[in-house]
Amino acid sequence: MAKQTLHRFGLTRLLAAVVLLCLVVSCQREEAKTKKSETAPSITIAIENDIQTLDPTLLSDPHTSRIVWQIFEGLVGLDAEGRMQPMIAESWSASDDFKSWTFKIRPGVLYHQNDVFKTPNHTRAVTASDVVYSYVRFAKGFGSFVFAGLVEGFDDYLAGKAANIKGFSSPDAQTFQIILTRPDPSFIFRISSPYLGIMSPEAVETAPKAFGVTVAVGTGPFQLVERSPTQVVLARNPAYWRRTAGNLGQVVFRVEKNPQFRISQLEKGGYDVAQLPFSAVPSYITGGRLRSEFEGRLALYVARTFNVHYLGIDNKQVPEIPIRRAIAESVDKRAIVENLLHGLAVAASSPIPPGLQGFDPPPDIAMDRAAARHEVERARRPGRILRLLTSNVGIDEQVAQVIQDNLKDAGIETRIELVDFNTLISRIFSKNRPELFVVYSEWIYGAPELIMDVFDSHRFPNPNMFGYANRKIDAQLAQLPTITDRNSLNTHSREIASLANKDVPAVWLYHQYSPYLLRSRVRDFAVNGHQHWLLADVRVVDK
Amino acid sequence: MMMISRREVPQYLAIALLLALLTAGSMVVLDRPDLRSTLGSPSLLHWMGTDDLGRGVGTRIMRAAALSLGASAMAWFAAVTIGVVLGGYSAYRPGSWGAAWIRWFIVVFYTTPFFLVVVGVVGALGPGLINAYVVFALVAWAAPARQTAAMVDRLRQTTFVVATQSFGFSPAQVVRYALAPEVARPVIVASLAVLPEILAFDAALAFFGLGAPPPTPTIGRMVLEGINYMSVAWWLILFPVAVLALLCLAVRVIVQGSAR
Amino acid sequence: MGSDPGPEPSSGPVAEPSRLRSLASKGARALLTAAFLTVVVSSFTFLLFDLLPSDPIRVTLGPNATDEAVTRLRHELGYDRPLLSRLGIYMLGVARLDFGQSLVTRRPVVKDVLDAYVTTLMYVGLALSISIVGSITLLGLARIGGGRLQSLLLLLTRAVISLPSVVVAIGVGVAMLAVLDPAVSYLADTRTAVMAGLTLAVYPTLSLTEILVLEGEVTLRLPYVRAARSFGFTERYIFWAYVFRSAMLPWLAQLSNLAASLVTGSILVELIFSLSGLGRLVLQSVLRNDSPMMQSVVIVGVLTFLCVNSLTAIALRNLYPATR
Repeated sequence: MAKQTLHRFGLTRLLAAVVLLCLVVSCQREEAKTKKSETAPSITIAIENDIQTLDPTLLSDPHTSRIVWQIFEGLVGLDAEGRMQPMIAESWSASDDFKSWTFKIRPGVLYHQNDVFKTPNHTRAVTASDVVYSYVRFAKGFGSFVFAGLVEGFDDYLAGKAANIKGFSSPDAQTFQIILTRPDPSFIFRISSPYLGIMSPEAVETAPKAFGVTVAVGTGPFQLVERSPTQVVLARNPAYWRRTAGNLGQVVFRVEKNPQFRISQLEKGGYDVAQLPFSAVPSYITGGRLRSEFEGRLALYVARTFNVHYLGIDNKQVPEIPIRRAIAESVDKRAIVENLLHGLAVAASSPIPPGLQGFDPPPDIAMDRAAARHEVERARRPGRILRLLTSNVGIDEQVAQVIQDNLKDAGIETRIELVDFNTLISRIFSKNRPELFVVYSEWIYGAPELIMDVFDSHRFPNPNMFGYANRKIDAQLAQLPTITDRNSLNTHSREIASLANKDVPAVWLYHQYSPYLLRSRVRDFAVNGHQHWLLADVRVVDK
Repeated sequence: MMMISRREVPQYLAIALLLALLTAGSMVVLDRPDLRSTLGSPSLLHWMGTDDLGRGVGTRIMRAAALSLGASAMAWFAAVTIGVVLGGYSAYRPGSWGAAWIRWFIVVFYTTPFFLVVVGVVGALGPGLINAYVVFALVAWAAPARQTAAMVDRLRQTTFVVATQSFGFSPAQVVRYALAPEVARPVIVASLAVLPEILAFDAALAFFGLGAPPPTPTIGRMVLEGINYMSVAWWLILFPVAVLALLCLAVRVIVQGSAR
Repeated sequence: MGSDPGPEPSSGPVAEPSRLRSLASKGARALLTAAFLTVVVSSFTFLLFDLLPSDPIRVTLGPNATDEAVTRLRHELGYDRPLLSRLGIYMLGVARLDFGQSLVTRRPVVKDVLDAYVTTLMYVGLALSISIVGSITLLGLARIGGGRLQSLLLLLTRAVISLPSVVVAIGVGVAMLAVLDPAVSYLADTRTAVMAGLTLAVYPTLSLTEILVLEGEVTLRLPYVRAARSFGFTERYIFWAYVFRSAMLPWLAQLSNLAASLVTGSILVELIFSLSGLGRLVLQSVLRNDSPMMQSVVIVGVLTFLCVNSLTAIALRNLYPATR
């Protein structure tokens, strides 16, 4: 009996040892924690999901991109108003036939200091060959859809037939040149996306497994200090080439998946910036402005990014235009925008966000339930149930249910299939496409005429996810690269979108805004249309 | 008139409650979305308030309770039946090929993260509440099988069973008269205790966007969505959780009654 | 279901080496079983991942990528090969201790998985310890408090554990965040892990307490206990030496049953507290169809399961030499 009792206590001792071990291990990890900078102003930003890679070429999620785009920057970029700004490229010019684009690299743009540079001050200036290197590195990922079929020698390189890309060259250390296969006056707007960040070969190749993990060396306004699974700390780049109006010394990005906690911590001062989930919008916002009880403590910033949320229709499975028009006439966009999104969106009549380089949207298809019902009755095919695929991202699930209800009034029966976002994307590009799908697109181009590719019948399934084919529209699209005047481009794009609306390839639902709650100490916070957080110009005012 | 002892009253009440929920829930009419009355607090018209699409929460809860209850019961029944049969067989005839295979399957299913199995197979079979619970049954049979095997193993050697065998009863009769009564009750009782987990299971599915497609309400999903609106619309989480708790308590009362 | 004991060691001068040999053969057999189980479960997971409806390559490249880019990457990463060939390549890699690259991070999975494993072990270990110690403590308190307190405790316990464990975890976790509401700029991993452990521990603790109290009640009425009383042993001694010991068996059984709920609970808890443990990895791998990452998590899980199983078997054998 004594032996058993002893064994029981032996177990207890073992457990105590385990607990102790856990505490010891955790203390070790505690040491890796960073301390806030005592002197320079610092802000803490809550991000909604895990941090993936810090390598710009492997980037595919919006949360990590906010961080990566502080570290790396491209040749050009857009400001908060959507105007093209020179960045690493000081100036650029195009040949008369718009097939050759030459960029002058800004002299004296230094990389963040890092041991990968074997120079006395552990840094060096960006050269045109770095740009070539970066653009080639993008070739297999992000670059493949921006440059494929457009840049000389690009397709050969991807097919393995050439060792490098003829179209990217550096005639001298400060000049980068791109040769295209066809004229493209709007080409500059293709590369305005912050995805195309410039990297140095040393940073990537010295320790290939470390790049994007612990090594992220760019030229941006902030540089990487440390990184853990739940947190990334950036410090101001003291040698940044631009004199910024901002005074941030340090930015801490922290993963906070629990939306309630994010907001409650923001109110307490734990976070300075956090995205406001739509479920919490009524508590903080009324009439498009922050509620008065929060004035003085908090501020609201509503970002307008280049996106469109839409109900895609597989034109091959729903070929009858009257049915598609009936669908468009049944959906109550206004109710969705006002009641589900609390006014933080604008109803869409085309895939192009209004105001993009001055774009004026075409007229929308008016809601007309009676007409819709009439159309459906005329084209009556009894017993046909359309599959409506949606994901659980944002409010798409609710939008799908509203659409289902709207369509029921017109006599169109649907069956909702709810999947996760990745499955939705996979399904849209697979053979098992649904007839209808609720999805959104974030445009990476900065000009309307480049978004019009969505109507191009040769570009199926990407970006023409609907299988829309109209010869007249194709012809008009082919005309676009011959126009160089901005107003003309906008007008022509508007006409094409308007024409396409008659065939209803998809039902454009709304362009969504993103509300951010800020603590009042954060001033001049801005996000551009590409969802690039312009933190270099943020000022912190601590009384 | 049949006399019900005082001790059994809670049990019968619980069974009555569940039956009432099942019938009412199947017959109730669900509201259509009405975007002008979203997130309405409890009122005379909607006793439990309205949800984020303006539909009455009360009717949705009743339907959800009925659906979840029915589907969970089916899943449970399938899982326990498969488990008891396979587990019992593997312990009754331990030397056979079949038994070895079953034992291996039990271990494999036990160690694989179960929802991975669920997600994978439901992904292949397609969404739908019934599919999901069928798959759950496929996964959850391992635990009752393990338990049954252990019990049959123990009982096989007791004098009671050996005596029955030596009396010349066929294996089937041994199972029916000697083993089954002893094994069935504890296994059923133990597995009934897992029923609440099954009820909440569809919330996990909802996370991957699986399970009953909208607009069909399920208890698990209503609870998950309610959490998002906790600070704005307390009725969206309170009532589903209360009904879920009520369901689970009712099941527990029934289980405890049977255990006696 | 432990392994059967080896042959009886013969007595005499040759006793020592043959006992060592039997131990070694037992060890070898256990290792072989472990390896075989790992291979089987790993293959099973591999197969399941192939069934997932999302396309891992398309997901990695994002919705903007062209079909050509997707096809190219698929070929580069070897995903266009037939299923069995891929499985074979993976297994050969594992034999060389190369567990592949994650599709999401594009670097070896080993480090991420091990880091996450340590985090998960921390708070799961804490939860287990709290459950074990807590249930025994609550039992003791109930004993001291007497009949009324015991009934009250039993009632509360039953009310809570009749709810699904996930609901309990969500409720406790959310309440903890709301009540404690740490007003610090960020939570140190240890503090979060402690909160996570506490949250996860509530359901198992109460469940185990219920078993102990009930079994205790049943055993107290058994004849041999009454006999012990008549022999003059103190109530306290009878309780801890007899009653408690006999309640340990179902208690241990329930503990191993609760292991499953700890696993599912850990995923939830990691979501609520934003921890970076195995649960987060599992969720991410399934949503992103990241097969190599998931495989490694599964292997780690299998090995843990086997360890825990053996430990439980050893514990049982030592506590109850009669039940072999």
